[in-house]
Amino acid sequence: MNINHKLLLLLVVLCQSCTQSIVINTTVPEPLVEKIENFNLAVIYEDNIQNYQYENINSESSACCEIDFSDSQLNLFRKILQSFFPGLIELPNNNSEMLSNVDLYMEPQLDAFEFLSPEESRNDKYAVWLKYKIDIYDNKKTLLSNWYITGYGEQSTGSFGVSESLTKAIDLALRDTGVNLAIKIEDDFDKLVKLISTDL
Amino acid sequence: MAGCTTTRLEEQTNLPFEILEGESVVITSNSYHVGNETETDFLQCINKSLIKKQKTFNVIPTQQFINQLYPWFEPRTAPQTTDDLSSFLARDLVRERIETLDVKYFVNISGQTKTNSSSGALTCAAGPGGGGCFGLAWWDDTSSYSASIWDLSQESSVGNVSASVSGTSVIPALVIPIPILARTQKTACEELTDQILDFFSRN
Repeated sequence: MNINHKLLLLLVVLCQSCTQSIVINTTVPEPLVEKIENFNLAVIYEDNIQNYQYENINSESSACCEIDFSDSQLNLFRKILQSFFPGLIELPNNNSEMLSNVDLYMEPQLDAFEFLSPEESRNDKYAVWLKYKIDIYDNKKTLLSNWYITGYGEQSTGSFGVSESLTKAIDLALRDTGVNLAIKIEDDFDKLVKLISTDL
Repeated sequence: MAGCTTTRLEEQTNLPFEILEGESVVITSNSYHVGNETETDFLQCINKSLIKKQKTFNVIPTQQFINQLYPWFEPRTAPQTTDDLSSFLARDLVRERIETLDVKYFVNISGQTKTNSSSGALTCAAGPGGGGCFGLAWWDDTSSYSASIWDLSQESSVGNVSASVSGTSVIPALVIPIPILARTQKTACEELTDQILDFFSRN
């Protein structure tokens, strides 16, 4: 191996070690919401809710390039849905059978994740957007509605480091998703129940 | 070493109010959704300073209160003006939680620290025989903050206090740089805390 190859190898190794990696461990508090009793909701989480990993290989920003959401999104949806529906049933995402005791099926999936670094937005903030699509089916697996739930978070880099600011912005965006999901359930759940009644 | 600062304080009382021993207050700030730029560390400073400087009333740490009220005190859902208080308190669960925590007042903080101007030049260099800096740099900071005291029972603002601190920081360097910093934000935090305590002590 000549000196040029050695230098190239060293550069590759150094670049690998420079890649920033962030693990998100957001936990949302117990929501302060009214329970919806006597209603059986089953939820099927898509893979990108259960363990989403973002990788931006073309990023020129200093922000990052690998973000592991671990089970943050799953915990968020669980916490919000269980607080409304005490008898929430979780089904595996390859489930195709229809359960007789289920009134509604919900299938949330991550539709989009975007962020802007301070270099890109020309200010001192990280801004994060999340968008989820939730397909809602009746007990015969007929599609009733699609809900689009978004979340936004921003954090200035002021007293935080780069990865800490981005982590905090994602944390706020996930919490904001929980807010919007709770508002959507409060505002629109009755409409869904009416749709089921009409269906019968 | 600290640079010189100039402080300007103002106070305004709108309505009669009282705070009793054991009652609680929460430090709040407007959301980034409405363009608020108040720094998180300034809010933490006010929280810590208010807890340290008095024992009459309780100060519930902001994040702890936000978590207790999730999802109704997040940037999207928290009241941004006193006009929003009635709809915020209209939720039974929110009102019950606030009563349980015995929260009587929100102290809503706004403002930020800005660098107005900077000048001078500072150059540093290092070589095999050593290194050093040479030059002079300075800048002016203004930390301007106000606190509006929201009475939850009256659903209105009972008064406002404000503190504006300006100062010039200088770094002269002759081999070794010697920073002489005007800690305007820290001074504003201390002054605003004293103003808030003074306001509550006059009920």
